[in-house]
Amino acid sequence: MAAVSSFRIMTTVTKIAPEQETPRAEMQEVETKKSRTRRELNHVVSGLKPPYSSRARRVALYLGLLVAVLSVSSVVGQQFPTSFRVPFGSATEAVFEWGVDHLAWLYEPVAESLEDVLVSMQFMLVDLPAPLLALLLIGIAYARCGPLIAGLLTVALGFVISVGLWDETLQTLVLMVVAVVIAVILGILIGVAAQMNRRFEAFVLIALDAMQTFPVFAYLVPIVFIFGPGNTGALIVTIIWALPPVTRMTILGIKTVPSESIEAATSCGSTGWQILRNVQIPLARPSIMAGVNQTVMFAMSMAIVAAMIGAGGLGQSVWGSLTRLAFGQALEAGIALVLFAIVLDRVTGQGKKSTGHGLFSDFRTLVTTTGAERPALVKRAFQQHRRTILTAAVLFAGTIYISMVPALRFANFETPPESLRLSFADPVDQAVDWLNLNLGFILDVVVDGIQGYVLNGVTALLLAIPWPTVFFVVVGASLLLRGIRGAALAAAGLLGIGVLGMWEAAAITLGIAGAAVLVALFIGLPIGAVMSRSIKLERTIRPVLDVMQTLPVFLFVIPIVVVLGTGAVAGLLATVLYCLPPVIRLTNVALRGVDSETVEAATSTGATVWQLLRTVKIPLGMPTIMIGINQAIILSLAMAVVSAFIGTPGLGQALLTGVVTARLDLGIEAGVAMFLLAVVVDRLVTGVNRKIQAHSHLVPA
Amino acid sequence: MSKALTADEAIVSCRNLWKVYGPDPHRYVSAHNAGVGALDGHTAAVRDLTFDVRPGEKLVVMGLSGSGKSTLIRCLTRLVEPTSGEVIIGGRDVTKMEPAELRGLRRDECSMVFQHFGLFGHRTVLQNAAYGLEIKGVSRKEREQRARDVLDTVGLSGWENRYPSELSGGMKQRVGLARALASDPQILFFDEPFSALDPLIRRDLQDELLRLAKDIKKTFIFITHDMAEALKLGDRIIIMKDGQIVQVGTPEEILLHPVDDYVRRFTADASRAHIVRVGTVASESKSISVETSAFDAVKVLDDSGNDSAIIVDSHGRPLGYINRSKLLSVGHNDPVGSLHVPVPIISSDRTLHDATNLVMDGNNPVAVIDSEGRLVGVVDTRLLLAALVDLPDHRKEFADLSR
Ligand SMILES: Nc1ncnc2c1ncn2[C@@H]1O[C@H](COP(=O)(O)OP(=O)(O)O)[C@@H](O)[C@H]1O
Ligand SMILES: [Mg+2]
Repeated sequence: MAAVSSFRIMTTVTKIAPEQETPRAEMQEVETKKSRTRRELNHVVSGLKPPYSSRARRVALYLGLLVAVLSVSSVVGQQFPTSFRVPFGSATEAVFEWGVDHLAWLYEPVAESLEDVLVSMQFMLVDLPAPLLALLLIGIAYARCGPLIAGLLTVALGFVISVGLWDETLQTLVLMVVAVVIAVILGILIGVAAQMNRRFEAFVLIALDAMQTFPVFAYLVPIVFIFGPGNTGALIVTIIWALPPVTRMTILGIKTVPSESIEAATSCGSTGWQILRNVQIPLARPSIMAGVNQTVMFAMSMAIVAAMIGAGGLGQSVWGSLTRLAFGQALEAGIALVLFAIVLDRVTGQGKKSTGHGLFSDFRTLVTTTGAERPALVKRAFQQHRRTILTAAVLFAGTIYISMVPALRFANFETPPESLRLSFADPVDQAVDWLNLNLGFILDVVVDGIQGYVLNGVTALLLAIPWPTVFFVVVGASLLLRGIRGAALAAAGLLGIGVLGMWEAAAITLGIAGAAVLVALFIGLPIGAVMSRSIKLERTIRPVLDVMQTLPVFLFVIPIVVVLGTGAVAGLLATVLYCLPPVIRLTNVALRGVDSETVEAATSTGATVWQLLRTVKIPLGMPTIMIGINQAIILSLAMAVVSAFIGTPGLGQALLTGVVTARLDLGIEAGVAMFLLAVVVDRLVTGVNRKIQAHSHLVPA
Repeated sequence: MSKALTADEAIVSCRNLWKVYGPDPHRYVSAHNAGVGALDGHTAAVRDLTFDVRPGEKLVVMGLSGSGKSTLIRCLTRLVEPTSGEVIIGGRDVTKMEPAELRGLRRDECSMVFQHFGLFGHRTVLQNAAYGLEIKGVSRKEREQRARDVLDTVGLSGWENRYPSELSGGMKQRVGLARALASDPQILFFDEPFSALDPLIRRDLQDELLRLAKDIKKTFIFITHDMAEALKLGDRIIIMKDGQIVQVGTPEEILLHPVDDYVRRFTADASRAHIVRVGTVASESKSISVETSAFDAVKVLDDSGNDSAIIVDSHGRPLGYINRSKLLSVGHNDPVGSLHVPVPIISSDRTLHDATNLVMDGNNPVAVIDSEGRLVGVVDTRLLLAALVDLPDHRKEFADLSR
């Protein structure tokens, strides 16, 4: 879930343009409806003619409706009636059981070949001399990103070796590489196919949306059910999770190729295939590469989740240690994961600022060029590819050297050499104990305070509202914001949650997520605003945000649990941390992005900094800030399962119980409920977004 | 005005071309043809256009942005699929072509240059220029040689191995031009190719294009929203508004006889010096044959109310200039042939700009001759100035040169 947010920006931004037609139509629909209700209201309060403004009338109308709903609610009751319960979970379980019994021939070959690939890759790596492998990895990092990242990788490898996690690291890397390669191939194929067929594209986009809204744990359960625990299931889960970004960015990349380039190729008489091969894919490459980068980060973020269903590797070390409350070891593996996540991000990311042409094409140019320009070209090629050439040379020499020295040829990094051995598991555990002993009471007071006065209050409030009230208010809001279809969707979603028996759990989840978002806004908006005023601050905060967004979510949890222990408050804090970066980032972007001439115009009239912010920057930046808030809300819901691990109640808890006890019915029901909740909330939030955008007059009406 | 051409005289001809955007474009067109009012929710970017392009001519289509120029030029090679109508290029109806035939047409006969260059950022300048040939299946060696040649023609030799991102805007468009020229097409389409460039660079490229057009015999169809550019480059100009043709004519016709206020607004600020020909503004002058006697010549002047005249030979070719006082100072029977002072001569199809020096050099008027050298009229300073600033009715007012 690491790079989720930066990715969401893309999708949200691209979503705005093509869908503009529909919301306008919807809004018109709403408009006419509004005026109709207004007229009817006029009828009702015919005694109260004009001086009352239309706004007053509207408020009166809404209040009246609310009273009506409340009175209905008090009759119907508070809790969602259990008599409506639909045994969706057990029905699904039955279907799956039938499938496992009768359709195994269909998927088992796939599973087996995946398994084979994994195993043979692992053997290959084991056969390779470990020093050579390390050299190779560092070489790649150097050639692509230069000395800094190569240095970081060297540190990471050194760290992994000295704490004795070399084997785990290799396992994780193999799983990641296989998952990423498959996801990237599939993703690009799907993306290209979608580009060729409009209908397929629409289908793919919907499927991708669903895949990303669906909590990953929800398909963990059926996959374990089908494939059993182990590496194969973990691989499949990772592929599913990592597929959307590269697919989406392929589609986006091909779509945003300048139309003139395509027309230029067409007007030269290119066939559709030639255009795709010569123009669209090469020009979409930066976008596709960004997608690959996100896919890698998504895959990395699944390391720990994969461990939960039996995959080995670093994730297993984190997860296993966490469940044993061995924080020291969890921290060691966690640090290794973070280091590799950062290196992988850089290596697959922008890398060096090349003009995008490779060694090969430059070399070909060299070969085909003769005459006076040649020496200059040779010089340029050497300069541009200096690192690659250097790396190749070092690797070549290294290979020969390593294969000649038996001690290196058969070196094994699994058990670290005595001189390098390092472990801070024990000191960390001791520190945690000390902390709990000596500061525990203070923290306990704080935790209890938050739990007692904030969380319990919010939850109690949410549960005290009768379900029909929630239902009508949400559906009504959807009607106003998204029209009839939005309202229908909201109604279906809410009822779905109810009949799955998850009403209460959903309310708790929503309460915690909402509280977390509020806290994140409270902290994030001012930080973003301050950040936007100082380049220095931005330079400092940005990398921190980058790292925060690169981290697998579980790693947020470790330090928090260490300090606060388990419970809802720890979950809340982890959620706040998790959804803070997009708020800060987008607030900064929004305030910075305001057209400089507009700012100058305001400044030249003598506006103070605060006036500038209030009257110009915030109104103009609002749509972007809202995107950040939107992301924060979605991330906070996604965090529900993770925080369940540390004892936060709600939907996540139900889902987790399903996974841990292998109860497909419970897992499916909680998963679907989570999905519905996410969809309803997402629609409402984007609806609000659009309203704000429409009222900002920033886009032509 | 241009006379209509037959289909085989024209290299490109458009017949009742429509391009309508919207939910049901075809119904829109048939509703229009049936005389039923326009359908809502449609945009007719090109409305019922009919025109011909002569081989080797430089046709400029000019109009405000949104008037449908880009759509029109794209319809010609079906980069945009026309809603209805015919486009005939080289005798074949493009709208009825199968995909393969259409590709053949695009590969061999037409090329296009784009406003924002449409370069392939991932290919070198050379590979960009060679793209069309590569698509045609020309061998690497041959196409690169040809690409080098055209790059040289557009002044880009030495830049072959650079990438577009390393070039300035003007150089990028030279690459676009080279790419279009490389496949040696008959017809070149330009969609506002210079609009994105700085004024100075734009002028360089316009001059470059004129030079090219002189060297290679190709048909140019050129889109612009800049009247000065249209006047400078076009043999003929089509002025468009809301998808329709407002006026077709040579630059001079457009300048001197704008059909309505829409066109007049464009022409108002246009510089006439390089467009309007002397022949168009020259006033008629009395001509007196060399054999005439001084006495008869004075009578001719008296009859016409003029004070001066041009002396011509028996073929009507101007020999010199004479005025009344000179005639009165000699004997009655002297032939005028010996009296005249030499007169500067200019051909009627030269521009006002060309005439300026001659007119300013002496005190006397300049004789304007046709292609056979016969006198058609005279211009003098006042006439020239009046024409340059477009004073109304200047001809009538200055009919008498020496008043
Ligand atoms: N793909 C399209 N869909 C809908 N309307 C279009 C499309 N392309 C162009 N138009 C409309 O057609 C008209 C003419 O556009 P265009 O040919 O680009 O004009 P010009 O090149 O003269 O500026 C404009 O009103 C434009 O909005
Ligand atoms: Mg245009």
